[in-house]
Amino acid sequence: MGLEFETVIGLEVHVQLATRSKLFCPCSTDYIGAEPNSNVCPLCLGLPGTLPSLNRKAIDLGLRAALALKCSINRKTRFHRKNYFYPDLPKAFQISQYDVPLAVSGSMPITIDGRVKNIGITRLHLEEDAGKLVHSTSDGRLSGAMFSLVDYNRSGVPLAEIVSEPELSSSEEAREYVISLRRLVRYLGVSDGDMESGSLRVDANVSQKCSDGRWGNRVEIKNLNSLKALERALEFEISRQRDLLGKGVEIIQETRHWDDGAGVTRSSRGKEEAHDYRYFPEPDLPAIRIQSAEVDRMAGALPELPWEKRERYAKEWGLNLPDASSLSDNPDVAEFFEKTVASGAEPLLAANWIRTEILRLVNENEVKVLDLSVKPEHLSALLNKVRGGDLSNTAAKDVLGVMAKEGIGLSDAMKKAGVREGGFSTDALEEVVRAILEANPSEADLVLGKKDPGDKKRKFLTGLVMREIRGQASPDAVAAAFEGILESREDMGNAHSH
Amino acid sequence: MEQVAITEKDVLHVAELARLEIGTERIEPMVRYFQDIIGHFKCLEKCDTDGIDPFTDDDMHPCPLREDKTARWGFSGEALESASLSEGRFFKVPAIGGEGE
Amino acid sequence: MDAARIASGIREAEFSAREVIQSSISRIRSLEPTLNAIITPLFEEALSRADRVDRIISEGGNPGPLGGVPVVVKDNMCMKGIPTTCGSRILEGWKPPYDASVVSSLEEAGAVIIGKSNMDEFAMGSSTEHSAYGPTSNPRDTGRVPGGSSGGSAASVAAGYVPIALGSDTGGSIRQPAAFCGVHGLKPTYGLVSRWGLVAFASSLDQIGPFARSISDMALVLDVISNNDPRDSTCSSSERPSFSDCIKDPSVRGKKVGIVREFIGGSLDPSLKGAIEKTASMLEASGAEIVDVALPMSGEYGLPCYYIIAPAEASSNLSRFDGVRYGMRAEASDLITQYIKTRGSGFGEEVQRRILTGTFALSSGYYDAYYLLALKVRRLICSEFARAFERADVILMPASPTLPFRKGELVDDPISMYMSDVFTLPVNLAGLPGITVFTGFEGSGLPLGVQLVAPRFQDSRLLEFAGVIESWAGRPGISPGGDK
Repeated sequence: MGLEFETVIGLEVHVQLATRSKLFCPCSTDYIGAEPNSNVCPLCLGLPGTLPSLNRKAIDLGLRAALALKCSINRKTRFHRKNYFYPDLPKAFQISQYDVPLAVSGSMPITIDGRVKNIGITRLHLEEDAGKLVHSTSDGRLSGAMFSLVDYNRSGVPLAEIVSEPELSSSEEAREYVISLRRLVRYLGVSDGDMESGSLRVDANVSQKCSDGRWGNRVEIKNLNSLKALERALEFEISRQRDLLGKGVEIIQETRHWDDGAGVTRSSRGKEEAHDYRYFPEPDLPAIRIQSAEVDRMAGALPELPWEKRERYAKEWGLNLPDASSLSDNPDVAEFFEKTVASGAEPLLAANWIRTEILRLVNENEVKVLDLSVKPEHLSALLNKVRGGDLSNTAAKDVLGVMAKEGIGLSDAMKKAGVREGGFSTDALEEVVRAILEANPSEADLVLGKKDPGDKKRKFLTGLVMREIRGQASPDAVAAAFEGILESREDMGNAHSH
Repeated sequence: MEQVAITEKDVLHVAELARLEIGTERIEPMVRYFQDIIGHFKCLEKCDTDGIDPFTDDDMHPCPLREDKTARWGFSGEALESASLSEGRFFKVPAIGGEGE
Repeated sequence: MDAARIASGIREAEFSAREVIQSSISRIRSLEPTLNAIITPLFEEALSRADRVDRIISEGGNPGPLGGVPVVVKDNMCMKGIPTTCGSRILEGWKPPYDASVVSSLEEAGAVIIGKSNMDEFAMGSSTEHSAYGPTSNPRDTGRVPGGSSGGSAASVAAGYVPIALGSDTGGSIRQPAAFCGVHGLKPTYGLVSRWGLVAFASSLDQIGPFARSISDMALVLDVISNNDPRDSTCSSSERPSFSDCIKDPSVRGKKVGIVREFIGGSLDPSLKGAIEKTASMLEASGAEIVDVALPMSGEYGLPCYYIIAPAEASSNLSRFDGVRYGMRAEASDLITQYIKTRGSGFGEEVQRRILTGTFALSSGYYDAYYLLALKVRRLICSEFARAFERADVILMPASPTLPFRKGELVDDPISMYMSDVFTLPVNLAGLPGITVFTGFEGSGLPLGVQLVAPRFQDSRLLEFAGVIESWAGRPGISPGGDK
């Protein structure tokens, strides 16, 4: 019988908190692009005699994220020292949290194949970031570098570490988890959550459960700098582990490094034994007391979360899951959508128009959706006209375009787009028909003279009319107007011929 | 005072953790010192500490919180002045090799 | 002359600040070859500060309560642009780019810092023989040690270099040298004085405090340095009383003084026993009641408890000294070698011993058996003191088990040296304030002192009791001979 495997993945995600100043000193967190070692002070350089001072906002943001993840908050939480030597760590210890983290035992829903799966959150804790190393090798990597350069600008930036239970079963689930967590932290204003710039980092722990009862050892994977890298690394590692286990070889418990260029995970060099971090409580920081009233207030002030919105859009307004997801993905887009509906627009119609036209305008004009000159109320008014039949889709799109470009209101935009309020009346239509007939005399004569086999010329002329009026009347109305003109022409003709 | 089985291996392991080189001639006295002092530590085991929470801190105020405001130190150049090895605006270290996280 | 007298004399234009500083400088110059109490003299800076004080006075301004008073500060307190060595090779030549909180406070009060004083390396020691800059001699008997680790500051006050000095106390490093040098020395309540800018030894035990030859000077300095400082999260934000006011009319009438019988029996030097007994009867005569209190845990378990916790915290605090950002750096072609050689040659013996035992106590497999156990015992010591303070307002106990020992006597026997702090270190473990009060000299001219301990934040009570004792025992003079 063939050996079968179940993949077990846990993810450790670090997010840089969106505070102005660092975790323990008032240096700015806006270090990207700064001259090396210019965004530092005696404290984040680890100079002797300096002492940490805890940033209130970091606790607030950590709490907010923890509450959104339905964690239990430790009302008395403390920092610990994690001791190890590395040049990017100025004090040779990192102030982090150990056995009494800020929050424990939460969960986050992810959507996989249309189903919702809840992934457990083991803990969320705060810690300070390290500086950055620049290695002297040509590929910028550590191995073989003769020397390295150290920049402490990033040292001390606040991080929240979020650890998931090992409940993810595939690289797709892992990817979804990271996307959901990223969406959440952006929603809450807790972090920029950007993998490329390093404000969101992922380490993965992967192991295999075998159908013959064996449990493969856990392997930690580091250096995952994008969602793509995460997926590819997990795929590779899962294969590697299954392959070895299938051959009866034991998986070494170790840390492996993802080499994106070569597409493989490699055992990290020189990791002889596990670090002995000698954790002990940070004596320079008394325990943090979090007031119940504060927690309750914060829980009450949480915005509607992305998955809550998605569910509500589907339930209340009948959106399908993909549409609900795409509208709730970005908090600004969600706000735009909800305001549009609140102004009276029909939800499905609004959803459709926002997903297509509005987002297209956002891309074209390179602005944020809430900065568009078209406001939700304006869109709502426009959509009501479409719904009432006063405007065709095509016409409405033109009008929207004008509204966005010129920053003018609905009526003005309609005028400018050459679109008529209430569409075309019979008289107005007949005007247009007459004009078209006059501009195309030969075709007109053929139709009038009933020398138009298969109505080809009639169709041509009707088409011209439709184009002229930019679809602002129904084909039936156009046909009726056409008929009306033809009849009167015939009558006139008849009258002349008598 | 109790005798404790601390060996040279134990002491060298600790020296490695602490990134401290002990000259060969000083290892022997260091081992003896360890044995002596840890023998003294052992007497703590006689103390009845049942039910004591090592982290009680009722006599300490809760951690004060700092407002999230930035301040520039503005003397970053001085930071590099203290370094005996630097390159441009960076601190510099020799080959890291197998060190670290 | 004490600090208060100097400050008022300068204010009243009896003499100038420059004259005072010059006098200080010549005293230092003449005695330093013997005493070696100062690592870095700051004569030029001091003279220009003195001139500034004189200018302020001549313009009718107020230079501050310590205007023109020369002071010495232990060399583990950062001063911007001034070498701060902590008595170690590893920080030789390092100039901090910022001032310690207490340094700013002293300077704002008009004090003139005239030197950085010698100390046991990184404050680890009880004799100031573990300094990379040579040992300091006890001014009362130059063949003996001044105590440690703040030996340089204690000696500076005893020798009359300055009327007041700052030291730091983690297990007794102010109180023990104060006793050895025959001056007063106070370790304030943990959290009363900001540790910002104090190079950390053991973070949960360190406190900065004053040496002085008068209790009124001590109160004056404490007023200046005991400010709330938000940069130190362990510093209390409570309002401080005016310590100078508290000791205006010191009285112990109706108060209870606790004596620990076990401490004054046994191997305590007979003259020190005599000092305690005399002090007790004098306090009784002044209206206090003597009661018995017991501190068995402190006596039996205090030493091992301290010698686990302090080195553990120190091992972590001293990890940052690796040659990368400041201080000495050993040449090496790879990082690990740079680390181990820098630290192996930059740190002295005693510091290395403590870093290693501290690392051991925190290491995997030993954390529970040593560090955690020590933390629990610490809680018991705290409760023991709390119970004692239900019966007494202050506790009177020895500051040291012996009179000052001879140079070289204990330097090769570290564990016997540790015994020197047996009466002082429990006070640090419990975070309480403790003061050594000078009570006189014994037959051969060696100084005698006693220690008083009070509950947390009752530093004023300590000063009051000390004031009463001083009115009976008199103020210590300076050595060699005479008074300034």
